[in-house]
Amino acid sequence: MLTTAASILVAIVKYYAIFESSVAFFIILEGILNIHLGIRSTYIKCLLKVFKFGNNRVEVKRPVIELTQKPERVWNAMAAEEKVLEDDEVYHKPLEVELKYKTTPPSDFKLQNVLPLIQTAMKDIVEDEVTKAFDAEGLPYWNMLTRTNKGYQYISFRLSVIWFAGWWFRHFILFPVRFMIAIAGQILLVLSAMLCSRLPAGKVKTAISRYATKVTFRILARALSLHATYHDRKNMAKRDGICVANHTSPIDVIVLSCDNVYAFVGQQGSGLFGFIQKEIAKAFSHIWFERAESKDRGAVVARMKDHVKDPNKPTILIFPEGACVNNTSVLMFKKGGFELDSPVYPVAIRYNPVFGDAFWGAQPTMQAHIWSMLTSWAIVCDVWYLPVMNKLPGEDAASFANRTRLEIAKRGGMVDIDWDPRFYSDDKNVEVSRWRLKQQQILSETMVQRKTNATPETFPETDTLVKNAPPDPDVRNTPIGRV
Amino acid sequence: MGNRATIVLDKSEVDEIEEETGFTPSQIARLYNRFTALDKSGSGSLSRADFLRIPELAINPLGDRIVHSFFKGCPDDQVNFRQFIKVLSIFRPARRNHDPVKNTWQNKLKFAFQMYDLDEDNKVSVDEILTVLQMMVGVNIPDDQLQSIAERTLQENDKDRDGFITLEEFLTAMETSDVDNRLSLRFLS
Repeated sequence: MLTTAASILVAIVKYYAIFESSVAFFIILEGILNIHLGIRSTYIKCLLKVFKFGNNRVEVKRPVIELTQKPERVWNAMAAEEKVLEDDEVYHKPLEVELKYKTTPPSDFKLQNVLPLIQTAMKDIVEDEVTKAFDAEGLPYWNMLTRTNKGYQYISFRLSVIWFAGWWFRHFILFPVRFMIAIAGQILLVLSAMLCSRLPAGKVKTAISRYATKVTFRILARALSLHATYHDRKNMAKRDGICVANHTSPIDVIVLSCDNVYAFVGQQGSGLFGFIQKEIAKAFSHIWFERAESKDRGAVVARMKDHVKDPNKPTILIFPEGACVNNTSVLMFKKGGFELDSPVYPVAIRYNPVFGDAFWGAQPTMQAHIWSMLTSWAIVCDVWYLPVMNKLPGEDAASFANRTRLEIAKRGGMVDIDWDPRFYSDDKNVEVSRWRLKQQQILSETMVQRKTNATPETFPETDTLVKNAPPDPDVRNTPIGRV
Repeated sequence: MGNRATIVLDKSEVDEIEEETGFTPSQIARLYNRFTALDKSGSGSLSRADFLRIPELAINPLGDRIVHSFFKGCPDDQVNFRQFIKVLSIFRPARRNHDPVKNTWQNKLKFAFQMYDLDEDNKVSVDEILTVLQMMVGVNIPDDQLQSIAERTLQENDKDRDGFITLEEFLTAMETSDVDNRLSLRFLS
């Protein structure tokens, strides 16, 4: 009895393993040969239908939950929207140093002068633009991932069944396939790099290494069920200059590399990742920095300049925000990449959060992030290639960076926020004191009549105070894929 | 109910808060959402660091004072949701016809008074005015000029000549300013 049960179990496991591996192999083959079977688009359309069904069920159920007066029925307030204040109350750009109730000309200090500061502070406590950029984006409807199920603990039996089926599907059918493909992709990446580095330098080597890179990234993309739509490919970088894009997750690299070959810039890591970095740098011309070197901005820029001069080397890809943002906004760009006197090709990447949140902020470590992506439904995104931009005569790098940023934000339908995202993760108070000094300076000018003409010595250096364009009220967060 | 950390709200608690503060249930829901968003550690209460993680608040010259006003009377230096929403309710717009709960004109001005009253003895001395001035303008104005401004401000507002500005004198001084507009936030209902 036991042996028959055991043998049935073994048979099930065997067929399961065969099924999973063959699916994986098939998808890898599809990647190598670059066939588009349209499987992924059909899959995504089906998913949308299921989500909508789930949403209808939830909407019907919600009034019932609220009307039930039983005390043990918890009313989880997280189901509500993120907005707290009326629109025009909120919409002033952060760090707006002009106070709302500034009196012109400077008049004598009165006790009332604290009131505007209190007002803006309380407003910022209740709702501020910068924090919203770093929280995971809210969804129009529930996509049956537990991690986004904030408000609905028990809705209906039917929905729970569908949710459980989805969970099982994602973890036991999708995940093993994806995991195998990911491993295969990485092995292929290293192998192809090793092979290509052996080839003699020349046109053949470049051509083969470009082809090999594209193929391996395509395979890695399939490991994530990545479905990217590329718009305006005519604007794509050919082989020169720099490509800049907004940053949401390390996946951005895969998304962009499927369509074009780039040279990466980054810090040399250690362990397995560092080994991969070293190997692929031998075959393709990536720029990796040692940790100490990366602090020296001048050295970084010099190396990038050398790279850009060489016409055989591919376009450099950089993410000027310097940190992962939640894809609803585009934060301040660091100006380093804009000092190189070469054309800049901006790219806007916008993920559709319904299928899986690509934002790396919601999970604490890289492994957790990868796990959550490998078990989500899919990664769906739009990529817009914007027309090339050049530095205007007389424009400095910081303004050029800002101009590019605004274009990217507008094209991707994201809100632009002129705040340095590193501040958020940095505990040092350098940025705070610099901005606070600026605030104090403005206050001193408006509040107090200066008796002396002494200018303060400790005036903050303003190279990071980028001049903002006036706020464009049409730039709003419009989630794509609103089908 | 007092200072226990709140993780979820049940209906009776929402009703209590509604009565105490005057916020509607949907406003309470939004503010609770905000509270949990600020509570990075998930402990159900906010520390000063949680407040100062809001960048716009951290650079506000009076940021520390305002954060401090939430922590009055809170044990363990942690603010739970009840305390949080109680302080915020002071900033609801006061409507003429409604029974004002927390957002009276006096309560708003009392909040402003507390900005100046650093040692919490219910009177504002010239040194306290000077300190607040230093917070606001930093090093841009020399100290002796600030001292004379502080003294002048005290003289203008200290009606009974006892060397301090009391709450009543403060309220009288602020009578002319448009307090309701300046210390109110328009919450989405």
